[in-house]
Amino acid sequence: MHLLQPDEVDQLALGVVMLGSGGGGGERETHAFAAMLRQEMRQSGPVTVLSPEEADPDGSGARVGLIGAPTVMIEKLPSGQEAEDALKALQAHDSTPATAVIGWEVGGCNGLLPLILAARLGLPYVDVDGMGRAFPRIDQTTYDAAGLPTIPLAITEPGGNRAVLDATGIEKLARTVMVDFGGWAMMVAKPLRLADALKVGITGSLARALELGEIWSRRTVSVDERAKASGGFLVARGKVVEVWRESVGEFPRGTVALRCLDADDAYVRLEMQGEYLVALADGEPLVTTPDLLCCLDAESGKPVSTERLAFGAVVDVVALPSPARWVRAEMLGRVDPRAFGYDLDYVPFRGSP
Amino acid sequence: MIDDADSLTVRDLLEIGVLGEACLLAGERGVDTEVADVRLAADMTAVEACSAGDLVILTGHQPYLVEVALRRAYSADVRAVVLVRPTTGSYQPPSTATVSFANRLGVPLLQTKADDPLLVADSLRTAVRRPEVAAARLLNAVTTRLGRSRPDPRSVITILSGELHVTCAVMSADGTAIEGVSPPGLPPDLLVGSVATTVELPEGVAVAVPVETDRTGHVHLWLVSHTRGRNKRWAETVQQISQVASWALGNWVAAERLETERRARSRGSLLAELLAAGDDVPPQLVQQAVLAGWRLDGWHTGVYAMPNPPSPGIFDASHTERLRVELSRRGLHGQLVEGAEGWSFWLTNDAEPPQSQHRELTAKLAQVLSSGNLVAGVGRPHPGAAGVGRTLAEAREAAAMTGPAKVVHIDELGVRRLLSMAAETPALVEQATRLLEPLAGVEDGQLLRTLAVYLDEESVTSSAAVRLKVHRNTVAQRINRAEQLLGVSLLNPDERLAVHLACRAVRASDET
Repeated sequence: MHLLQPDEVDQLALGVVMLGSGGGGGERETHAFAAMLRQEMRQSGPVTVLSPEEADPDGSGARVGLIGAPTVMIEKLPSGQEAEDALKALQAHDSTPATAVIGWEVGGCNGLLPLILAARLGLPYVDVDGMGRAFPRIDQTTYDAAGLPTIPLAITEPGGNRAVLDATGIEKLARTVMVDFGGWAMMVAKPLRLADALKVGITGSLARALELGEIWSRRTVSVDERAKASGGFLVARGKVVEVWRESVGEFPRGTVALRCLDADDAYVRLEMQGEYLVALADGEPLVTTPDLLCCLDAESGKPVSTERLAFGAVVDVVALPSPARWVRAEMLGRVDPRAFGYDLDYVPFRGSP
Repeated sequence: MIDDADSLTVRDLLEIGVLGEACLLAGERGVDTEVADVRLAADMTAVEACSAGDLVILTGHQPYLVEVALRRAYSADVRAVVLVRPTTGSYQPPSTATVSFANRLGVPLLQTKADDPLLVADSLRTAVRRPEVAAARLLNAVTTRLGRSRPDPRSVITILSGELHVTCAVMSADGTAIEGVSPPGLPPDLLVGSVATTVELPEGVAVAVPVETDRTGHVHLWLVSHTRGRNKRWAETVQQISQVASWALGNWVAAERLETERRARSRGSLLAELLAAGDDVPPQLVQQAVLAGWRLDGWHTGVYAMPNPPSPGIFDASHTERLRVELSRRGLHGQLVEGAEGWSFWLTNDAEPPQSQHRELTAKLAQVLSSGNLVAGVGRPHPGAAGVGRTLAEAREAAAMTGPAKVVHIDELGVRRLLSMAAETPALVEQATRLLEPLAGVEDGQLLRTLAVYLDEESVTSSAAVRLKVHRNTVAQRINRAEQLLGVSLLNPDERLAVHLACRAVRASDET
């Protein structure tokens, strides 16, 4: 059992942004939620984080996540009530009580939302989630891959609108509702039996986020060493010489060329959608999804999200290994480059070159 | 296949135009490698299936895809990667990073524009694998287009350059481009032969095929095509197709010449009828004249030009045309009709032209005729349909009397005729000789010559001195002496006229 204290929140926020792989809400949005979490903890006390072994297998864990564009929150502020409202709306349809809160998507701001809900309801948080990083789609979770239900699903927004969806094709439906709700909305899905969730989910992801947060807040250590300490490697330090984005298909997609600063005429290309998905050098894929890619501003050391990466920026590209569960053959189909429309196969994660 | 000299290289494919509007984006180092086959790749699996010597047409154009394809192309020894830019819809041209990568690998990266990559693949593959089919297709396209339009130099050049992606010129044997642009660096001796020739230029190859040959085997007109490709087989194809186009051009030359001749003859006979009609011009003749573009009203000033001495061989359409051009260059826009012995030309004014016109006209004509052996006579202006005949008759008369002058106006002819009559009258010549007898042989005929010049110069001593290149006192003194010897006074008008006429008569009889 770990009591998450307010002074750990900043490190945790950095950790979940690293796990976001450039998506899941950027650094700024995540820090807004970090502030909300601290505020909630000040009122309700520290959040109890249970490791998988400590959790009651027969209990049930509620999942909460934000759907839509976190950037819209600058204009449309959250009230803080959305998750609770959604859970209430869900419980009016589904009698499963929530004895704990579990993670859905640990990467990005969705890594902090369950903690806010847990603090608010006084429930423990069980250290498990469905992604172990950030992905754009609802079905890209190990829960979904194992056949655990996502419906009924309650959606709310700050204006008080709520919807409970109980239909197949939930992805498209939820996105349609989200757009009508104004760009972003809060989702709470049917609570899962903790035994099931722990069996198929990615356990220890919050601990991993805390670990990464601790490593990456050590500004005095070189990026290379921090990357190695995180189990990954520094792909390149480069200057953005080209950014090209287009909005066709479901998610915006883009490609970025970085000119490496340590070599003449060498380039690294990053392919991105919501997240950084593939890194290539000279036509050779180096890192591919589900392995993680993070861009860190070379000067400030802060992670740079896909939508904020701009021409002229100098960044360090860091690769981190994917949670082991995704790299199994039967799981890769959901999250490998082909799942995102790239004509590339998954390249096994390699250590420092 | 690779070592075959006939194989096309990537550069050839670019230059012979089978790629359409293609450009080389990167990898120039590799453009001289030969292409053995062409493949269309929609995905990486297809790129991986390529073998050495292939050229790959990539249907996708995402930067990562292009880069991965370039890498695989390089390791499979693929000769080039071609991107197809759709004519509509979004397209992201290869980025700096991609271009840099292709340059480092030395794999040519090409971009062309087409709606369907399959069509690009088809034309490329035909060019590479079955060049004779590609040549036949081109020949077919060219002959179809030649047959559809009435071929003249401009349309032939348009068709050839459109289909073969060559620059063309129709050139005369002296190297003047009659139509189109002569290829830079064309050797001057290329056009001296009489058979089709291919020559290498700094940029590509020039092919010259004869269009028109005269009986002696001299080629007057050439069709020169300049292609940027250096491939031997391609040069042959260009030559074959140019040959076909040259026949069409020869046809044009013949038709054009026939038309010109026909026009010249009909004009000649029309003028003859007009002249024969005299003052009474029948209406049907007027109609024909109008159809020929002649204006019969207004005031006509006739000019008759003819060779002196007569040389009958020069009357043909080209001479007429040259004369017409020369005349109009000097602002003389009138009707020019070729005749059996010379050219009739007349200008038409709305009103009676002022007296000054004839001097101006004479000066301009003198410029036109300054080179060559033509002389011309000018008639007085005469009004109406009958005026054409009248002024031309005068002009003809004047032309016959030109003497040493190039151009003579009929008005000047009165004096001349009088003098020529004087020279032709034996009694007058006898009288004159007798009158000037005392001066004969004196001072080697110098007194007589001085006297003639002095009288020609209106009895002005200084003018005569200038012409004779002596001091005017010398002239005055010689004239005094002559007066004494002849026993006349040149101050007396009758005596002066008699002496002047005698001088002219003696000189004219000496000349004849």
